[in-house]
Amino acid sequence: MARGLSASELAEIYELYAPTVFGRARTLLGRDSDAWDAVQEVFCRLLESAGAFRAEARPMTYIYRVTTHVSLNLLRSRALRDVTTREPEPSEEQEGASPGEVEARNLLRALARDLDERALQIATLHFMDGLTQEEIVEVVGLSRKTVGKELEKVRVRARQLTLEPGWGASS
Amino acid sequence: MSEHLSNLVLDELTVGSRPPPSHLDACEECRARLARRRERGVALRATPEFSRGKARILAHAEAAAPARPWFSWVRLAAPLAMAMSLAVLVWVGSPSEGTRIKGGPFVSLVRLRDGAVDAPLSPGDVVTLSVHAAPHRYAFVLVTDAGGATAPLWPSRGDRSGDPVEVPASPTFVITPGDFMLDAFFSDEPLPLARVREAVARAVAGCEERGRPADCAPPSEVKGLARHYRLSVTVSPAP
Repeated sequence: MARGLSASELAEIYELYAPTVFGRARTLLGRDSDAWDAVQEVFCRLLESAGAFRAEARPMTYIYRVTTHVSLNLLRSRALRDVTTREPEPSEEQEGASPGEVEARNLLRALARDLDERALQIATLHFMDGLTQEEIVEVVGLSRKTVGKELEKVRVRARQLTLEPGWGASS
Repeated sequence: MSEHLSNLVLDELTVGSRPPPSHLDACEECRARLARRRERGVALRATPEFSRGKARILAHAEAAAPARPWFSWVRLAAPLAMAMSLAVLVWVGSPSEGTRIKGGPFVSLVRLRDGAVDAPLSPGDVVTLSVHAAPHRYAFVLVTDAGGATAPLWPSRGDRSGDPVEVPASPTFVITPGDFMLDAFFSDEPLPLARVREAVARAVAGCEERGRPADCAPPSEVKGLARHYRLSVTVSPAP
């Protein structure tokens, strides 16, 4: 078994955390098929870093960090592929998502056009997950000062976006 | 922020990795959110996709065993790594047989000290590059440093994409100061270096013109490209 995880350990980790990974990815990506892709990718990464996962004081922060990273990458890849399709499968997208989640996802998609990867990850944890600044620091592993600066940048851009004509029309 | 429990706390409660906070007793909304999460987890575990995903990842892990002791990578990597300024590639033998699984192609950096994946790095960290091309066959990974200079990272030789199965090697290198980004181009036919390098250079130049970070925009369209994946890496001063 790879990187020091026994089959039973891996199966147990999957049973425990795969629903969280799927739920986060599904909320961000809006499609079941993409969310399952993300689950596979996240667990591939977990296999490669079993030591880091075990060393986490809060393993869920690892799950959040890697799932967010993987999902945002998929989102960007899809944005490139679907550049002409502004609204992908709205019926599937709305299924099971709360209005707040849909609004957060639309905001993140808009922010994805302007923000770099780090800021977008922080925006996701802030707007979609409602994490406190302290929790974001734990998840992303950056200093409190850096997270504070990034959050400010994200909030300013989000405010500008929501004031732009047409914002919310797709929500 | 909201006075309610964050998703992180709710997810930790769902898997039983923390005791319930007192807020939960007092907040009907948070109790309902937690209950919905638990219900969704139960329902998901009953789906065929869940079982299939578990089987795939277990098969992947089985195919990847036995793992090579990580200290052997360090032993080979350290002397060469010390001699180079940006990234020194060290070929350390054949990895386990590649297993093509669903999940999309990607690259990741694994820090050898603690196995952290795609974590913020510090100068002196020794990392290995992991290339997962499936479901596509070929990959080309370029590195762009803080100054905007782009160079091929994998394969390090030749002027065309490599097949991770046929080119069984994973580069190990030492981190030097300055953020950098990796651009991985996945394809079903080999791509020429000039084509992918030009795409990255154009994107970086466009970002510079707008006064934005080098990773502000993806590379322009590349003929023959199936998927592009970017990994931006922050390099912070050592604590």
